[in-house]
Amino acid sequence: MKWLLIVLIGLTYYVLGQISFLTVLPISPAGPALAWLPTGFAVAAIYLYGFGIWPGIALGSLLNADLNVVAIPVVAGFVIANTLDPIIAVWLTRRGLGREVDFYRPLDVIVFILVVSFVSSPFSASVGAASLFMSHAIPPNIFNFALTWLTWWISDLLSVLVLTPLLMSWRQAAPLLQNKRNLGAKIFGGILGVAVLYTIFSMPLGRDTIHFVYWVFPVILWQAIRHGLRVTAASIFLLALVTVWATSQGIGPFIGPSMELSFLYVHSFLAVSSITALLVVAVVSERDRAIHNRDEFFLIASHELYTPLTVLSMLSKFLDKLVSKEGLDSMTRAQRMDLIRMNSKETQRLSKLVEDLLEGSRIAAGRLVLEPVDTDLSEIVREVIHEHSDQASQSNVSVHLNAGTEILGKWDERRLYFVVRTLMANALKFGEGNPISISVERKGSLATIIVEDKGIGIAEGSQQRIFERFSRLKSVASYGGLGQGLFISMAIMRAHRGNIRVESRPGKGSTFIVELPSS
Amino acid sequence: MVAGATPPTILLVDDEPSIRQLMRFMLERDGYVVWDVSNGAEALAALNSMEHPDLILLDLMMPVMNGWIFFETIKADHRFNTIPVVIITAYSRSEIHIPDVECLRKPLDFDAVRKTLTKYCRDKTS
Repeated sequence: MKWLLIVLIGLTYYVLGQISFLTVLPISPAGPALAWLPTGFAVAAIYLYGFGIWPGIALGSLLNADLNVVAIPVVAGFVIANTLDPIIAVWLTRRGLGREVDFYRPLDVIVFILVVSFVSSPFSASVGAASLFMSHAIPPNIFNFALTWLTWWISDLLSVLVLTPLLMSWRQAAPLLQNKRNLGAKIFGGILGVAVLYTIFSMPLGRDTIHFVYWVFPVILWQAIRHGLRVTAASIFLLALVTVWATSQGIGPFIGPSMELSFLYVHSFLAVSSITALLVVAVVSERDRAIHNRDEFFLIASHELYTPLTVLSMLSKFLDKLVSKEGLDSMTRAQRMDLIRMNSKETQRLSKLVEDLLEGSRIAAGRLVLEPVDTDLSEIVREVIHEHSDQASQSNVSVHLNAGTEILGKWDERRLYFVVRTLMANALKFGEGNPISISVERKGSLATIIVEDKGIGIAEGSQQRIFERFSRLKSVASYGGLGQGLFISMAIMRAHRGNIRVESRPGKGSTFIVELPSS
Repeated sequence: MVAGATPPTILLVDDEPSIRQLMRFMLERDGYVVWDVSNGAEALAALNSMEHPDLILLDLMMPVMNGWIFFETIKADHRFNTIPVVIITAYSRSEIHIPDVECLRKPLDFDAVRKTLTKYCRDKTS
């Protein structure tokens, strides 16, 4: 099955290459092509099927090399350039982001653009152009080398910018687009786009038509804002097809003094269009996500507030009835004390929830001011474990503490309590009843707290998201909470010039490591 | 409540210890026998080890096994699907997406709880 996939990818790569060869530069029959579709396809294929499909890319690249035209060393150079190019692109973006690229996040789009613009495509262009240059497949002068390099680079880059998001958009479903599925608006956008393109390319103004090219942007932006990645990437692909075809026929605003320059103009225009479109899609979708998270947060916050309110309101009604009908004496002293304790516990809980909400807003508004006092970190950890001992024993969870003597420093004690409480509560909540171990120690000038559970764990791709505000990896139906404990904790640690990080494997548990510089 | 008769049994499923404590306190004063557990999985274990309760009071948002999954599980199990279930939740009727089930909204009005319990445990309480 895997080999079938590899062969299929190789054949597709070959076919896309053959189509691209129709646009080969006249300086050498060996290439480079002005539009090089296979790289965009190869990057998407590696994202979707993993690095294991690389033989398919090498195969397609080999099939595309015309042995009648180029020597074996050049073919080897081509295969190396074309195979490593998508591998570098995917590996570096994954490494830079710590997860799979998500075209609905601005940071991901920026990292993706930087990697393909400045690393993977330049690498491919350098190896490819050097192979052609050294085997004299192109006239051996620096101008031709530069032109070959530039053409290789930009056609490769453009292929990734235009084709990869389009192919991946079929896998990455648009989040939160339910309200935007308006077929009428899509058809109208399509007609408008075609009308604008037709007008630009049919104007009898020659090169002066360039001044009307800007009309493409409102249409692209509208698609990006309204319809998400799929429609926008498809529009950009169509725009590229029309522009490249028309320019190759000598039609339209991009006609320059030579074919090479014409295509450089086209490529520059298409690169700007696709980068703009990708960024707008990501920013708009981040905005939608923020609005969605905020609304969800209000819902969750009201539910969280409801629980203590439920207890308090039931308690007051019960006491009201009891006093007016049976009298307080109908309860034993122990029963009365239980109710009083319950009342004060729920009141405290309510005020803590309100304080957490305030703290979250304070941090989001950048108004967190620390109040450092002499603090013993070991004491905080001991105290927090003690606070949670009832809950732990109810769920049969053993908590193991490894703490030496006191670890003193000038820190914001109240807020460090918050951090340790958050980690402890999370370990209990997500630890699935398994033992929890906590250690506190000082290593040089760094005090560390390590909280380790053996619970559900966190997938690698989600480990950064847990520190975002309102983030929630698990359904609220199963795991309650405001979803901002780690966000607040991270802000508190950063304010102390410290850090929190997580090491985790799904199903194996999570380890949270708090690092606090002594000050 | 008739003295000497078997008192009606309630299985209370809620992850909030204070709600369990308070409900238990109030219901026991009214003569019910209350089993309380903190999630759906514990409730299933309890059902397997006890005589059928006269009613299940079920919260929805809970860890380990939430109320929706527990409800589906017992409705699909012929041993338990005749036990009446009343949902206790802060969600509104339209938000819980479970058709034909009686629902008590949090914050709970204890008189309403009493009335509902009496309805389901009439045989034993009248």
